[in-house]
Amino acid sequence: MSVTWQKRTHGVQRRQEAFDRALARVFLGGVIVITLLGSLYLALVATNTRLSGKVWQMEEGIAEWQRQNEALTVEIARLSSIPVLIQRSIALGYAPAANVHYLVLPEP
Amino acid sequence: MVSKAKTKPVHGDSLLLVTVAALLSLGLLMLYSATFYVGVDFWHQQLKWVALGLLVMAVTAYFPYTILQKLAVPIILGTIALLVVVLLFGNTILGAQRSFEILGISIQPGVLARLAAVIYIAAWLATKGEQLHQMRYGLLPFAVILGVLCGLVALQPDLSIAMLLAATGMLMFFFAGGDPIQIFLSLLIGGGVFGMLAWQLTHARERLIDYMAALKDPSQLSYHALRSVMAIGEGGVGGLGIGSGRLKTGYLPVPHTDSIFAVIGEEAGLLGALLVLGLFVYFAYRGYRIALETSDPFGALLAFGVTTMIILGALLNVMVMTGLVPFTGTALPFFSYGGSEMLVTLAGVGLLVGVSRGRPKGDWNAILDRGWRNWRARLSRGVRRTGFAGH
Amino acid sequence: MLRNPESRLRLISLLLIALLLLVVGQLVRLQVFEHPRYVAEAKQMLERQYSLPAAPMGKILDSNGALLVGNLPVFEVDAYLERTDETETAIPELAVILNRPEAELRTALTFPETYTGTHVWAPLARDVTSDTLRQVRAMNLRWVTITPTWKRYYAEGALAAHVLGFANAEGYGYGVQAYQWRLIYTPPEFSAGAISGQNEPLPEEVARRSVTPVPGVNLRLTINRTIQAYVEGELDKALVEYQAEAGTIIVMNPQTGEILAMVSRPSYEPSRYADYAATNQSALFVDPAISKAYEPGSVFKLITVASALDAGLVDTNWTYEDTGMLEYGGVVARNWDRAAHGVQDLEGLLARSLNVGAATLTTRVLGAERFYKSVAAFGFGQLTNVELANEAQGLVHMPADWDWQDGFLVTNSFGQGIAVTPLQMAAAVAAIANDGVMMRPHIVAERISSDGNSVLIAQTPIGQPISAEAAQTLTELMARAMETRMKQATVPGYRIAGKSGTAQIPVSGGYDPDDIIASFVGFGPLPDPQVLILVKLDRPAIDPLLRWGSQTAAPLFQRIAARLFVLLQIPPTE
Repeated sequence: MSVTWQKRTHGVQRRQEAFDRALARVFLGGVIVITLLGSLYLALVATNTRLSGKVWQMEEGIAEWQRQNEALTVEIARLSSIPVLIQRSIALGYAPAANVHYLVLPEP
Repeated sequence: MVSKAKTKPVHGDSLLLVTVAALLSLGLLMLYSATFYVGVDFWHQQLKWVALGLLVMAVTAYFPYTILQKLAVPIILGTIALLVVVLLFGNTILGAQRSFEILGISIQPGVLARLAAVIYIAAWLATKGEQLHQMRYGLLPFAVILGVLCGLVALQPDLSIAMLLAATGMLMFFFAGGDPIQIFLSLLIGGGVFGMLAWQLTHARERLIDYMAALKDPSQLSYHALRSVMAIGEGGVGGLGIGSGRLKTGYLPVPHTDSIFAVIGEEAGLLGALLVLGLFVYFAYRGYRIALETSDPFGALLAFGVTTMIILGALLNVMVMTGLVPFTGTALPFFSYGGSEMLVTLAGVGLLVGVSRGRPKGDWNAILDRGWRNWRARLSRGVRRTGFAGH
Repeated sequence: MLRNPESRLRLISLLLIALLLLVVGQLVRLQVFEHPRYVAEAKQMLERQYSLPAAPMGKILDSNGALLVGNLPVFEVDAYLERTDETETAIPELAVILNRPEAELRTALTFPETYTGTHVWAPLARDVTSDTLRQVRAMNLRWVTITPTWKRYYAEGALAAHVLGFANAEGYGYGVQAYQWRLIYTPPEFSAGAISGQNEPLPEEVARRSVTPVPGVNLRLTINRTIQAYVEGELDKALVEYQAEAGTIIVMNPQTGEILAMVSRPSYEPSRYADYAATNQSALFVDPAISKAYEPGSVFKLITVASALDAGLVDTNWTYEDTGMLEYGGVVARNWDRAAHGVQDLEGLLARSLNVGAATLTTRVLGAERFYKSVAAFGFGQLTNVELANEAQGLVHMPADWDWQDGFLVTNSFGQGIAVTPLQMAAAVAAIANDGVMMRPHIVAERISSDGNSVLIAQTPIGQPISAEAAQTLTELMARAMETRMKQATVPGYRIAGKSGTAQIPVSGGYDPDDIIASFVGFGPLPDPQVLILVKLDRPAIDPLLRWGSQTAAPLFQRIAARLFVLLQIPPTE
């Protein structure tokens, strides 16, 4: 009969297959090792990238806070500016003093 | 006749499985690298697809593949129905209706059609035998079948899958024993039809024109090709390092699907690309070896068809990414993100493993008697012009 | 031959291998031979400029930390249009939000007919506040770009306008902001590095540099906003009362050189400086206190007497015969009342403000060399280097100059024929007040950087024009002169030294016959003067007999001094 049939039924194939399977096991081991190493490396790189993305975001966040801070400073200054103080004093019932005499008192 | 020697069940081709395992792991690794920039959702989804695919592969590997020969007609009719459904009701993305959703899962019948076509063609060719040489029973019906399938796919429009379908079919026809002259003529006609079709469809025509221009002057390559070529070139021999690819951050279109080979080229360099190509080559070797060693014509054709389907898909993607072929959107098997693609590929691999395990116990003797004898008998009579057609 | 599966497969494999070799060849070509080219191309594509968020400019604070100039975060709204962008539907709403006429907006947003480029950039609005911006953002237009930026905010409106000044993006301008531009301004930073497709820097770029903008340095001034506001109010009232064209008041501490207030009229609103420039009123920006020199008149007699005292050539017992006129070098000096006053000593000279006496001192006692040495020592003809932009040097004719005439020695003795800035005058008199040590007049008290570090600006003496003895003698003379002949400038409870001046204004060919510049310089309380006030009124238009320095500037000085003693909590000394 043919070589192939003989191989199949007379053990030659079996031996070939057994060898193939052993080889496959070795290759599989290699694949697993390489995959593990690769994924470790990739995880590192990915973490790095993620962190730097965070850094950039935080820096943009700082800039945003800065803007808000300045806006608040301006608002505070506006509320304590002289014209506003005068307005608020008048609203509270104070009147601009016309004649002011200062008394000199001894220090307690 | 046959000895009553007890034949132990044959195990599937383990080296093939290891190769597929290697390709899958590399695929997952590279997909993670290509997508982590925008989030891990893609990767998680792909993991699920791979898991599901491995399940499917296990099922199809132990599945008695000969049943498929009987089921071939319903399979192909079902596929044609799905293709029609997608044309009528499909979601239009980028001007193409390629997928539709059932219960939230997107199904791409075009990809499914490739495997279904392989099964059907294998079944059809296996039954033809000697008649393959007669146009009436051979080429013509075949051309009709292939034409219908490709046409339905091309109407989506998805010329690349149609092309792959046609190529796979033609190669299977040739392997089964088809007359080379007939094949050549049909290639001419088919090529002509394809060309006319491409000319009609505007974006395909544009791509062809761009391609012609790019052959003369590489800087005229389409945008996508330019970027992928740049990415590959930037990799050099050693690559930039896995994960350190730069163009995937928004300059390389779709790095997670079509362009993943460019990412490989950029990050793993020439060595990485050659490794991946080498794995595919070894996969082809194991697959074709299975096809040759199978005693059953349907099994052989099935193995040949599945291997060719996968290899041609990979080849086309790589050729597009390196700028050798005008741009089409195809996926790299085992690597690109996409459920349909992965499931179909792994199902095909499962069938391959199933074929490599040998025919189911019951029919062994029968086929051994008939098909095997007739097939091998051809060897000694090299003058006759038939292959294993005509058993 | 071809007729069994193996050979057919072989053929097919050959075909596939051929294609594969093609691919491998292409890979080798790309990644080995053309590798440098692609590396360069990728680099060119990735490495672009990207702008960092703009840093706020340094703030200006008053001496107590109240904000005078701050930063308002605003936005610039621009359009970056591609040819295919549809703008028509958005224009009416946008016109309302941005407060621009529709037609203007439409022309700005249309692609010019002959334009061949792919994009057009058009500015839409500047200084957009966050409320308006919210509305613009809500419209969700793809072609609108929003850039965060800053606008200078003047918390007290027009207060201390000349001192604060303003500066444009190149640093050109007026006041302390222009002078200290490099401190308070951080230019917008662009970095060139590898960027992702979403315009975010790649990790290697983020690691390379920090992109946090560093704000400018804040400046705390010596100016006290309460005093400044009060003095500005007083000057405004005085301009009305005396119908003067313009005026300047400087309040400084003679012992430290700190300027507590510096007011000039007419003034402007620094937050709208572009409007003034557009209507040709940029002359308002110039600060008369430091940039406009004038002939000081009788106040300058202090320098003359100081010089003589310092040279040791005269003392409190020295006298001279005032005949009502003195001629020298072709120039005749006469007293203000054209009268002769007989025998006068230094106190009389100062109290009665006798030109003849001053001229006697320069021509008969000092001589040109000694006199001008003192003049230079007092800083006239030179910059004080106060931290304000566009300071003028004034004009002092020295004997060595080509246009020297002997007559200058006469006229300079009583402050005519010589041009000084009000700050120079104040600083010089401050030296007299400070035992002869001249402190550098300065506006900036402290520099505070954004990380909290602060640098106190040291108070530096820049010279000793006269000895301490001479200074004390002169101070005593000035005080006595005030007590006898200028009670309208004295403040009850305090001892003050001062001198008034009524100077003529030079016009082409001579002097203006009618208008004068009335001024007064005084300091107190003696013996530990903490306040020096210079008052200058330009061309008071009231009755000519009532517009003398002693009648206009002196009473104004008194009002301000009295109030300042209270504000600064200086108790009466007697």
